[in-house]
Amino acid sequence: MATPSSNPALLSGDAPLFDLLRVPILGGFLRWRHSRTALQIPVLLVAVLMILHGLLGPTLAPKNLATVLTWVHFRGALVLVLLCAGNFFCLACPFMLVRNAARRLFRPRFNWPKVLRNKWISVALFIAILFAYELFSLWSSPWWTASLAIAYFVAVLVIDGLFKHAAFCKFVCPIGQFNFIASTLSPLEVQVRDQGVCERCATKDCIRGRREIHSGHPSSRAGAPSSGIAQGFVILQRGCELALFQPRKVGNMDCTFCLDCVHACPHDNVGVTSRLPGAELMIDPIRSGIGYFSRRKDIAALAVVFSFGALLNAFGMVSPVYALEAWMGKLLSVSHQAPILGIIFVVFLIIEPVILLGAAAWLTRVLGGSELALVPLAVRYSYALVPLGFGMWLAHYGFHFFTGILTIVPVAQAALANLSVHLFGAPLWTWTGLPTRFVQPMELGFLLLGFAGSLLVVHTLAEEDCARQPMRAFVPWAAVCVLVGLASVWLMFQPMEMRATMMGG
Amino acid sequence: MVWNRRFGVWVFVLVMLVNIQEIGCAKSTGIPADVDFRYESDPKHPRVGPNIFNITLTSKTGERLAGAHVSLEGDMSHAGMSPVFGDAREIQRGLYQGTLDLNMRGDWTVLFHIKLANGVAFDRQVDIRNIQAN
Repeated sequence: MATPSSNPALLSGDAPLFDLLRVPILGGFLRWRHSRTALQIPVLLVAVLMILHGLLGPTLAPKNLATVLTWVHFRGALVLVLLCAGNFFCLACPFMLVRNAARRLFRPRFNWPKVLRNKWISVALFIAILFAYELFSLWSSPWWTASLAIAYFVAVLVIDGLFKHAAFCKFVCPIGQFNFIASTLSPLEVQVRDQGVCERCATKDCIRGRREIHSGHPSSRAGAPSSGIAQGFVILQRGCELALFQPRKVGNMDCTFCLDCVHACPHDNVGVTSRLPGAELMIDPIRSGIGYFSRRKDIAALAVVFSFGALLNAFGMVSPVYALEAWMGKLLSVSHQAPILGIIFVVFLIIEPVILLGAAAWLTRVLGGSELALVPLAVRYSYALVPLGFGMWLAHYGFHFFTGILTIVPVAQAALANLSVHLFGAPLWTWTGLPTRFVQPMELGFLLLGFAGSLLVVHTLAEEDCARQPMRAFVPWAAVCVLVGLASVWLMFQPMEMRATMMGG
Repeated sequence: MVWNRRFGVWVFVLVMLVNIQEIGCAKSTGIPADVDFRYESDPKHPRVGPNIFNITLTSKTGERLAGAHVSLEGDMSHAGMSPVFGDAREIQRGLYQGTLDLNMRGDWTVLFHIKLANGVAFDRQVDIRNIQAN
């Protein structure tokens, strides 16, 4: 029985095959100091348009930019970019652009409370958004969708207006947590090119930032490259705001791809390099800014909510959910949506995972002879479900993305027509996207990819835990993967039903 | 003074947000006051598949309004779903009949796009919930 440990062979070893920052043009753009801002500005403009159209435009979801862009294009592009590249949506996050602008007016004074330096708030918010999505039928309401975006901007301004560093990104943002956990399966990672260079580095600018001593009043330094002025220093370039020290950073967890470390490193020793997707789930080294995965119950809870939430979110879009809700409503004599939905959430996100992970952990102890207690075992293996969950998110969001990818054209045409700008004639409402028969095989492919990834992670962990008889630790967790995988495939083949009225209407 | 200015900025932002949201709530359907719109569907509660809609247009004095152009559009509640369309023809004076193929279970919104003979155009929106398969 081996103790959970790091397995560096899975992560490092040979030099990466690919470094995005060394790609001509694109690499040069990303290395440019203002590349993030250049990406954020158009995204912010789109966000403002979405909000305005959501509040003032058509009330029909398929005809409004807020709902079409948010629930069809943003979500789909997000998971596909995470699958094919990395957490580039956090890089282009418009909320951070507004925050950085606001921090020129309001300098944060407080440190994020130690007791809250974990993922529990963000896990709760993640669940809250999934819950609100069903309760308020966010997908069908431009007004609610726009209001959610406004609430996000307000939350960012309040939290990062009060607290230093990237408190919102690291401890609050539910979209960020989704991206962090999904990006553990991305093929690219921000990491050092040569550890030897870091060992010889005396300044550690990647975490501390680059500063210069300044003697004048802060306001006298108009045109200073950064707004961070503290204790007689002007920050020329921020270091990592999420407390990830590059030489000891492992994987993509908590990395927003902001590239501050790239710009701060005086040795040009940080790249965006290729790696084996999901490899970081198979190992348990100490990670800078995070610690050990196996000791982080909050991150394990995030992995569980991410994985089982994927099924729950898709379950809300198929016919059986309405039959279940109607049956529960009759059984409990309840006609209001919230309590029924609450029970379903508790069953899917708490009771079901506790039973499945608890049983598998118990069997691992009994069959495999693991010396770890039930909870540490469940925490350790919960990360293995992330590929399965990601497969389901990809199948679900990919479906809407591919079947509705062209709907943005007529919606944008109609929005412009309302402003008396008629582009290419009447709105082309028949433009939608790929037929379902072409998209379903892709969905199945995503699910199978996730299933294979989860089995691979489980097998690697089992080999480490029970070197002599790894199958004894593998089988219980593989059984969990099979059950979740079968549930995912079953969900995919259910008839879709989109109701904004859960209880029957 | 600095804090007063900052407080003012916050108040301004909040007031703007509240105002925008209030504007968003003010919507009208734009149906002319002197036109009476009625519709019936066959089946009575639409199902997945082709559904016949009979639309009757009358003036407030009870006179049937002939010569209008009526088209139908069905939209799902979820963004990204393909809308369905159909044209209605006048089968009796002031009575128009059209078919919509509602191709998915769930909540639908049916839009009746109407242009009267006198050139006045308006839309009528009807939400039809919980459409099921046959």
